[in-house]
Amino acid sequence: MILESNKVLEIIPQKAPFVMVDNLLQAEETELTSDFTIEKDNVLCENGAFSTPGLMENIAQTCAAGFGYLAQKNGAEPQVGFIGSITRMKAYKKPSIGETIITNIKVVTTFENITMVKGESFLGDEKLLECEMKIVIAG
Amino acid sequence: MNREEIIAKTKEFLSEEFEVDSALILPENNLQETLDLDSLDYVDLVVVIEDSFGFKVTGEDFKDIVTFNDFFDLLENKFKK
Repeated sequence: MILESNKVLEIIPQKAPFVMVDNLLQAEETELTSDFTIEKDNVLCENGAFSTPGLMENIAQTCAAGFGYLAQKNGAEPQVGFIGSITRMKAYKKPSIGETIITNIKVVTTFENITMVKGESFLGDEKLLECEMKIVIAG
Repeated sequence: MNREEIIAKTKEFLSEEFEVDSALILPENNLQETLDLDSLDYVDLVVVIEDSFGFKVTGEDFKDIVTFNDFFDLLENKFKK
């Protein structure tokens, strides 16, 4: 682990109860990994399971945590990003309350102020969701 | 790869990625209007170019691109480098 959840909260713009990422496990220029445990009071849970929008938000917040961490490491302030689009999304399974998911992000390309990533979330070896996401950096 | 081969390959991936009739990809036609590109779509264009030809194009490269002919010129010049 490279950044515990309390430090991640200092980097990402989201605040409780809309925080959908815990610890940052890895952050390279082209690859990020986080974990997230689904608590019973999570606002994006439905019928005891973390929803598909929740899994997509988790991917976005993993990007916020990872890119923010890398910015700080390079002596810059974390920048705020917005989801520009989500494509090629496939949802396979929803994790249940109490389970911990691992989310992996691969940077596909960066063009101007837009970064395209491929995000995948897993429960153990089982893939939960995958998608491509374009993140527009504000400012 | 010569210019004709670049154009043929480009028509193929553009029509597939942006779901446009390859017959509309003519040198004199406007790239942005024909492919109906918004700013987010340019990222897809960058990715398919990189996947197809192995080089990356930047925002600066697109500055003077209006027609497909301009675009083919850009790709040909990048390919030569």
